[in-house]
Amino acid sequence: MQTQTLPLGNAAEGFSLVTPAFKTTRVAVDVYLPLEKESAPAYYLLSLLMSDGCAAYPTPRALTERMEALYGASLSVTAAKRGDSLVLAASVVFVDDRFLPEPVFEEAVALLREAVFRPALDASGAFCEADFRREQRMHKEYILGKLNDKRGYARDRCLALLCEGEPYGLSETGTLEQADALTPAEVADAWRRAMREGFFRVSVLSPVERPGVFPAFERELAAFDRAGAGRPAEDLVRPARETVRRVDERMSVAQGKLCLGFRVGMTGGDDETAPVMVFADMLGGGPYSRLFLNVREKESLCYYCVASAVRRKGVLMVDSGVEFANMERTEAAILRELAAMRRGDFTEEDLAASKRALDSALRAVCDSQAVTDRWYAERWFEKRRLSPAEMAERVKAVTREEVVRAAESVAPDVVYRLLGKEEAE
Amino acid sequence: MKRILHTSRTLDERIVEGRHESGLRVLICPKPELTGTYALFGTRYGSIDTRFRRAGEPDFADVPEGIAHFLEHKLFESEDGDAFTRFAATGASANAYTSFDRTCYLFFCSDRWEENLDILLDFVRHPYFTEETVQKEQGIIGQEIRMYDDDPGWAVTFGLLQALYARHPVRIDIAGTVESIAGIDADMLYRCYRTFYNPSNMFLCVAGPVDPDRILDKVDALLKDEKGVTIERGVFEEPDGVVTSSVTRQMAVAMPQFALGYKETPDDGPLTSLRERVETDVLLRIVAGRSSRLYNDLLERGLINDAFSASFFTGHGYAVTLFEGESRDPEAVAAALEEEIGRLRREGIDEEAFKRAKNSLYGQNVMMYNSVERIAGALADCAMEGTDLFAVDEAYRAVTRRDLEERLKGRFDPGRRALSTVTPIKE
Repeated sequence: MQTQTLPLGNAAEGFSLVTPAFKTTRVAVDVYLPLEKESAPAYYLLSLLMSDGCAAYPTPRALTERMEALYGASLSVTAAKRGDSLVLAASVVFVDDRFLPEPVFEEAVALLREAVFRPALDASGAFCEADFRREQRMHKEYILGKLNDKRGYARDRCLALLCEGEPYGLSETGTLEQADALTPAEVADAWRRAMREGFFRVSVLSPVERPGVFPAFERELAAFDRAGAGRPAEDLVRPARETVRRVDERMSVAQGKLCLGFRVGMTGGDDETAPVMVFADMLGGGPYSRLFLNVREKESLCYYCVASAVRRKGVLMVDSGVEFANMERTEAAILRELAAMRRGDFTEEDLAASKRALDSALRAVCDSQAVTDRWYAERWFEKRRLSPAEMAERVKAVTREEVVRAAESVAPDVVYRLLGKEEAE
Repeated sequence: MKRILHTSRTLDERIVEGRHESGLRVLICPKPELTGTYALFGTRYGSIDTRFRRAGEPDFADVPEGIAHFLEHKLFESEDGDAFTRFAATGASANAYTSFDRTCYLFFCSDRWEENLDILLDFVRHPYFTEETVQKEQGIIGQEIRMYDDDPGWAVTFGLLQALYARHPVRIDIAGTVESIAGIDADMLYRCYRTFYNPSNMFLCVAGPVDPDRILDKVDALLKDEKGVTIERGVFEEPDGVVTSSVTRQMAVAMPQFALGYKETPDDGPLTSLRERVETDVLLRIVAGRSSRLYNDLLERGLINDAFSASFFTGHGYAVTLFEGESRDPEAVAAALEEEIGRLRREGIDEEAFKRAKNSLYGQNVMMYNSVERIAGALADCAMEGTDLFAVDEAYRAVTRRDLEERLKGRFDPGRRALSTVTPIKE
């Protein structure tokens, strides 16, 4: 796979990759913005408005009809955290012309440009009131709906505590009060700010070369005063707290959730994070991992107990769903497995199993256009932008000593527990 | 084994099918241009199969709720270590799932597909249960059940199924209850295993850069002496009507959820035909899809958000036209739906809407061939249904507006409707 990068003006770059294995083309625009408590909710609501209409197709119905006419092309706009940045991500995925009775390529890419560069604003330059109210309602309902997924809710709470005071600890949706206070003019301003100040990454993954896509985006960007645009700030990394912070919350639930948040001392780009990846997988990755084999299978304490590391943020979380009465036992069991890894108490086969599983997963990255695109987007600002295959080589080279060092660098920082209502301490 | 080649020139794809004498069906989609292989070995045995016997057995067996799922968990174990350990040696990622009508074991790998296929075919065919290992699993599955107890989406769906079905076991939770699984023992697991994990009741689906002939040869060698078994599934006298038209539950949620369902009778039951499924799919897109009048009207009125979905939920002996979502006023959603059904029955289906629905379904079908996981899943559906993948494409192409208008007449009977809701706990 030959990737290409090309400049598209100030703080804007294009990325292209020819992917003959697929029957679709993916064109995406990522706008990197600072993740801040004050502006995040406006960007979030902006993403909802952009995904449901634009000047050319102003209603959700008109836009969907357009996508259907383009043989099920799928346009999506989201606002999500990526490290300490907020990324407004717009993309269109559509069937390659080879498989269609009529070509759609030009029109599908034009639809993406309409969505990004020409939102449905009124004469005053604000979003239309009716559109705004509809999407604001959905914004608020989405915030409320987060509580419906108890595991996700507990993980979010743990992460917020773990990264308190850092952008990554913020929620991209903001609070209900923040969503409620937004105005149509404010969200339109957020769009203008994103166009002027954001770093643009435009990517094209297509079965054939499509060089014509980039100049069109470059022309669109030239319409904005982008002198103030720049690269996003580096991600913050901080050491663990002196004493572990413990937070319990109570709710009417049948099962408790236990989330342990850790700080990882080894951070940086892919060159340094391979040992952390291997360590996290050995601790709580697949069904061969220590948490699965011991906490689940041997002690029968839970259905899931998983470790996941956040690249470049130096953060690791272990989460599990457990009986209230078994909370302390499970916490101790998890810490026991971490301690064993620090002592190097694992076999060569344990190490090899994780390396093989990671190798398999890394090699499969190229089997999806979306995953491949995401892979490069995640690493866009790193000194060396490793390919999945290069990363697989790094993983293969990780030694037992490096895994132990990664384990030693992990320090507990937060313990978050979701407990039942009736449970008395 | 009989080998059949299906090709689609429009899609530039081929499917190799093997029909073994024992009844096992093998469906392979070679994808030399991709890296990963996804393989799925499944049996027509799910949570609804609570009463059965093998031909020749004197009595039907009634087994505890959740036993198919329990068996799925236990099958990973053998006398000398578990299947996960064997897959760990190749780097494959393995898993399994149980639904209402099937249990599937699967792996995904980036290399050594043959070795992984050997492991898959071996562990599923070699059960090993002891009272001790069965007991250990009760704790793990107990926590899986508890996890679902807190899931409002799960609660609202089973609330609906229990409101619609009086006797059919589609009304019971796939994993059973903490109490029902306490009654499971090794003997029961063996009895279920011997009945349902027989090649005549199973299917193997593979998508990836594989050599179909090698797979079929392998299966031939493994199943040399296997004979088919006839399974008799218990019949549940299910009344036409619903149990109750409305059911509600309070949970620790902030956003109320609903599931609205119509109990349907398949054309020539107990299984829904491919044609019926495809027609209903296109129809639901026109009635309640993202570009429909109904969806957009409900959106503007603040009655739904983009979590809203419409689907046709069907299997052996059950069929439900299902609408799910989040709403502060689900009754108003139901009223609007029925009003729209009435309008469509009177005015007919719009030609433009029909064309768009078909075009976008065609595009989405093409997109499926990008993913080995999705292909293997679709092949499993075909194996369950007794169809083949390109016949499904053909069925979508063959649907006419007339068919849909006919279909509309026999659906959405308000007398066979139920509404299930989950609302926030009132403090």
